[in-house]
Amino acid sequence: MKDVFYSIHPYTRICFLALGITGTIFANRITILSLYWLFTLIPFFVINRKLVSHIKVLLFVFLPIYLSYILIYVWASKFGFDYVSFRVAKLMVFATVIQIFFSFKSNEQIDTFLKWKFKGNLLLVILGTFSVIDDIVKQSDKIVTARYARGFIKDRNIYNTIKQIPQTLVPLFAIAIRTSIERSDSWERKDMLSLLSNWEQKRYRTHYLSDIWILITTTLYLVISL
Amino acid sequence: MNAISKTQQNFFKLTLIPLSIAVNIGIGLIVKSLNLPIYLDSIGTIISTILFGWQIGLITGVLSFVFTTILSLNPFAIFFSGTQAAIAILIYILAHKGWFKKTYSTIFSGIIVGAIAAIVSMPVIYYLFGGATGNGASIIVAYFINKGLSPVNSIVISGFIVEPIDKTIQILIAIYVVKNLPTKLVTTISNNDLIKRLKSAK
Repeated sequence: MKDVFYSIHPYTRICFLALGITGTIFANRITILSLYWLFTLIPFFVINRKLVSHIKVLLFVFLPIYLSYILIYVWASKFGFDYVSFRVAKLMVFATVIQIFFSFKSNEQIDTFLKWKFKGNLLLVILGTFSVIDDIVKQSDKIVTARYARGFIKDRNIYNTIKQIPQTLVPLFAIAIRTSIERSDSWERKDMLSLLSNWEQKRYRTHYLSDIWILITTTLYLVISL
Repeated sequence: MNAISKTQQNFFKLTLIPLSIAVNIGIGLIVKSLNLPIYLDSIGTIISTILFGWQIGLITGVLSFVFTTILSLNPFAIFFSGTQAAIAILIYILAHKGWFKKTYSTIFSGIIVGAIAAIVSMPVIYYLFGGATGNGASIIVAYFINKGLSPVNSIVISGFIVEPIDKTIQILIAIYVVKNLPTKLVTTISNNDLIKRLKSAK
């Protein structure tokens, strides 16, 4: 199952993004948005085992947005809940389309960006970012944990915690700069830019059924929305 | 540590941008883990701009927000990347005018950066979110709409209230970080007079 639904082809992703966003802009009924979200977008997350990341986005991004819509449009502007739900559903589908567009696995990154015609310095920066993000996030976590362990953050009130940010950032930036110096030396020796320009692209392992399904349903969504 | 060669400088920039982006995202996660009611999402951009110029700062800021979207941390962050570009350019200008030497001028520059950030973000907040971004600023927007102001005016006023506070804190933190970075490390990577002046300023 995991291998069959390996991924969406990079070109299919671009078509899906264009069709999905246009469809969402023109969608004027909550039913259309809900059906598209339930039968095209959610199955994608289920099949690719990324439902948890989508649920996190729903909880930490959309729940606060929904509450602030209630505050602004129901409490302050006297609109009804129907209007608020429609606006939030539109935002949710819009964001989910973007989330799916960018949801590729680490071993697909280089081929996906090459297919999207990224090259040279920009491609190197993008791939470099993917490779260092985890390290830096782990480092920042270590620094915060160390400061807690040493008792620098005794009372967890807002003022004390804000005061800890600068002290946390100095070592983090020093680590980043030192790593950059080491990496630049190694990249220069390896001649990374030439290596990247001579990269042999693999044949994309994609399952046509998932590509066809996502394209047909998104086109249908656009047509109905128009 | 000796100063690095010109060819290595080019590769250094290529390796530094991803690390600065990662630091920007890392800071966001620290803020999240500490449950702070502020964004602090531009500190990496401000530090990169002061240390390495507006181009690196701009690329760092814009790509940080693109990656925040790619990594599913916030699917809408990508739409605020224009604000990051504006912040990088403005920080570069203010730093070169010497506005970060004294605390009071740093605070004043934070207010200016915040006001500009509010203006640049306003179209995204209005057209995409209708003012309801899901953070504390939405409460201020709701308050002013309830008082009879139009949504556009309410968004502008809430931006002018929230952004200068947030950006002033971020600039003060960024200046502290730049001043406290090991001098040897900074001189290795950058022959920037601005950093020397900042480090010598009280």
